[in-house]
Amino acid sequence: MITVEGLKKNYKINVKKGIFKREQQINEAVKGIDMQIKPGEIVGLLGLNGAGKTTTIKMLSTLIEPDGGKGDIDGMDLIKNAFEIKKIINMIAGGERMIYWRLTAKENLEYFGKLYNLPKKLLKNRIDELLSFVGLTEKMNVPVEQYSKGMKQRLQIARGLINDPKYIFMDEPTLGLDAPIAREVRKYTKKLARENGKGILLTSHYMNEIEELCDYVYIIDKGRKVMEGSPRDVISIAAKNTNKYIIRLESFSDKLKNNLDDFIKSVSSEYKIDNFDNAYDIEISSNKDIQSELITLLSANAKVLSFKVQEPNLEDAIIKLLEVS
Amino acid sequence: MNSVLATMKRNFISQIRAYPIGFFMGNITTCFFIVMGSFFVYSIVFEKNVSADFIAYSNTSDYMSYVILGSLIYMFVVRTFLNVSRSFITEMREGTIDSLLIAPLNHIGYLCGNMLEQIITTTMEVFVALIISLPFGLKFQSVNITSALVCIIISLLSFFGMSVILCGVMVYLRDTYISQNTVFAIINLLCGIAFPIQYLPKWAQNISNLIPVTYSLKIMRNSVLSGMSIFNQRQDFIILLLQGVCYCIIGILLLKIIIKKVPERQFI
Amino acid sequence: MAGKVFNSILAEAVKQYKSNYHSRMVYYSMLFWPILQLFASYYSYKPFENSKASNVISALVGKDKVFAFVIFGYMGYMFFGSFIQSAWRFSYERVSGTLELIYITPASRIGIMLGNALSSLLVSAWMFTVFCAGALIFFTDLKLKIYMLPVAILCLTIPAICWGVFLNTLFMFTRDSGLLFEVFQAPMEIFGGAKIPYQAFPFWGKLIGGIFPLTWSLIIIRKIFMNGATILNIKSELLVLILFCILLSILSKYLLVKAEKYARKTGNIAMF
Repeated sequence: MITVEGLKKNYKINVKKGIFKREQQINEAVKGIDMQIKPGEIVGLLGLNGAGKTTTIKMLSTLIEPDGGKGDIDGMDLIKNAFEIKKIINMIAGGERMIYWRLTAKENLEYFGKLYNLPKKLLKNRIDELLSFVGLTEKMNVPVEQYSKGMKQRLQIARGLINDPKYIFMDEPTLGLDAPIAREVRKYTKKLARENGKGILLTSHYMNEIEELCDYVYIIDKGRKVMEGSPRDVISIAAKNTNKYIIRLESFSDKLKNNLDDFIKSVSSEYKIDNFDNAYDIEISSNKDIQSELITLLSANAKVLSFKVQEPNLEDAIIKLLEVS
Repeated sequence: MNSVLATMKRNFISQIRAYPIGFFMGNITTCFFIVMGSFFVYSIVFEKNVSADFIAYSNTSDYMSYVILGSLIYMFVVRTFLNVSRSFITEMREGTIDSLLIAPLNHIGYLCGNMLEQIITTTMEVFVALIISLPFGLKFQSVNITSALVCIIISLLSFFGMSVILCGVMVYLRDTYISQNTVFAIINLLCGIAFPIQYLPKWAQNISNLIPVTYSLKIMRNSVLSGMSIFNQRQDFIILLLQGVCYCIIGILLLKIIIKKVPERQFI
Repeated sequence: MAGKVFNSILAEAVKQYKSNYHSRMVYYSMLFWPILQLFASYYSYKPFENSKASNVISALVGKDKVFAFVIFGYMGYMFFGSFIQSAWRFSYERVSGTLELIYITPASRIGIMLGNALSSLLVSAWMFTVFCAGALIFFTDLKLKIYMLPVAILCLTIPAICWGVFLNTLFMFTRDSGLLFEVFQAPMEIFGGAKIPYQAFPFWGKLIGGIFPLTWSLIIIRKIFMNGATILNIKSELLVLILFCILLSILSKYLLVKAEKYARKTGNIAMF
């Protein structure tokens, strides 16, 4: 299990105050985060850009030393036992960097495999399996510089699994992948956790991915944790079970407007309206079940072209949460 | 013009933020050690004696001034090549080439911006290197400033042309290390940096005379050490100017072709 | 432990070799430049030929042996240079983001540095072989004792590797490796005795030159090739060289640990 308490990280930055004058400022990137990741669990780490997600992942992957707090992975201290921890973790980051472009996929995996001291035969088998999994077997002897962006990202995933890590830190792993491959990656991520018992920490800006995969999420903002819980719990607490009613009307008279204003006020909700293409789109947010009253009110005053109820999702919850934070 | 100014500003900011010390010191150090090496050979090993044919070939017995001027010009050449020639490759390596190419950028303007920023920073470095070289025996006995200034301007044009050609070669070969070091080694041997080219075999001198750096050095030394005027060196000036223009034209034409290949030629 | 180090050396050497020496052009350039620089160095002596003091260098180097002196000097300097270049190239791992991935593994750090240095060995050996063969063909009065050839090779290779690894660890501390490169490379060329006889320097020059293993390697190489030296003739220089290699190895290991600790503290691994 990964356990961190009060994890902190500060960066010293030099800010120019004139031609020759510089002032050193401290940037508190992570201000005290508590977190737990159990084997077999997929944990999401969410937040806006600059919240401290990547710094947190780098601390857990022993690339950066925390400035405060404590953390351990399977009882091994993050600072004192960093070398031992490296054997059982790995990181998968999005993007096109972090691989050797002049080497082929196979050569890249051979290189990293050797750095983990994998025996020759095991390494060979694992390379074949991983290349097959990410769909790069046919191109395994082609230099990476000739790969598409998606292929490079898939190779990153293969590289991140080369040492069969117990804990995997995935920093936007499906970034740049087409839908079928992204789906396969999500399927495999679930398999890694459920069947192989790996603990996974995942960051992603694709909320449907987080909702699909994560057992638990931590939401951070400006270096601090603002909420944690299962995705369902977060939605219900943050979004306060606020449903969205999306209605399209043929017309919107003054009488209807007045009636709607009174009704919305009485149920302590809010709405907005857009007009285009000779129709009116109304969006009403409410944590009360007002479906039947709404239908009655609207159909009495206009022709209802469509009526949809949208339950709150994680994206809504996070946006609401971070607005408040 | 926007491309020129924007590129200059970007380069200045990057250099100053990322390499506050190396920005200056690296190049000063190189020049200092080249000069010091020559000083040791001249004064310690050979006790300040030069041969009669050196005096005949170079029109001077002032070996240290001869070599120091060679080093300063060489510094300019190397810095120009390192900056301008490697500009596209550096963008490719740092992942910024695509954002550059999709912008309505004037590519020659972009390279000019790199060149102009380089001229300003290298001029400062050369000035400091000049100060450092004074104790080693750099003497300005008879300087024709007009001739020297005109030589600098025309030389910069030719250095620019050469570096644009090298830029194209680097992008095509997707390599900087081999191409730049080969060019530096050739210039160091053939252009009269540390010794008159008359010592070289005739066939090598013919190649030397096709490289603008040879004429730059010849004119600069004649202007600074012997005080020769533009008129007295008019033939050399004309050759240098023609070479500069030719190299620039070839460089620009080559660049137009190579630019199209850049997106395919990623990455290193 | 030894297995871990060996794996890291092998992995890094293979990777660097495939990444950097990926074409035949590289092999030809590794010959072409030294030849050009060698001639540049040789011709830089021409302004002093037949001058009053030209017997000075003959006395130090041996009559009519200036060119041979310069050849061996440059061969040694270029040999060291290729290991230093590979150290400098390693600093590009920062730019490509792969340095982070190396640091995330439990690979032996000293093994990585050694592997990086060794990736240049094949190419440097190629250059050395050609130069040696050329020297032996063109200079018929060389007094090499053939059983001393492996000693010469070892006296060049091992110190060059140690020096390359040491500089590589220094480069790990800073994003500004270019400056460090200049500060070490240029004085080594002058004071290391590549083209100026070490004996010709004043005391302070000898002190500076003495800190570079290249200086001692060159003295040994020249004694072996030009004067037919045996082990007994080079014992003091050999001892200095061995001590150097041990010191550089210890220092490199220590600095590597410090560099990684520093990088973890400041988070500057990914910055360039």
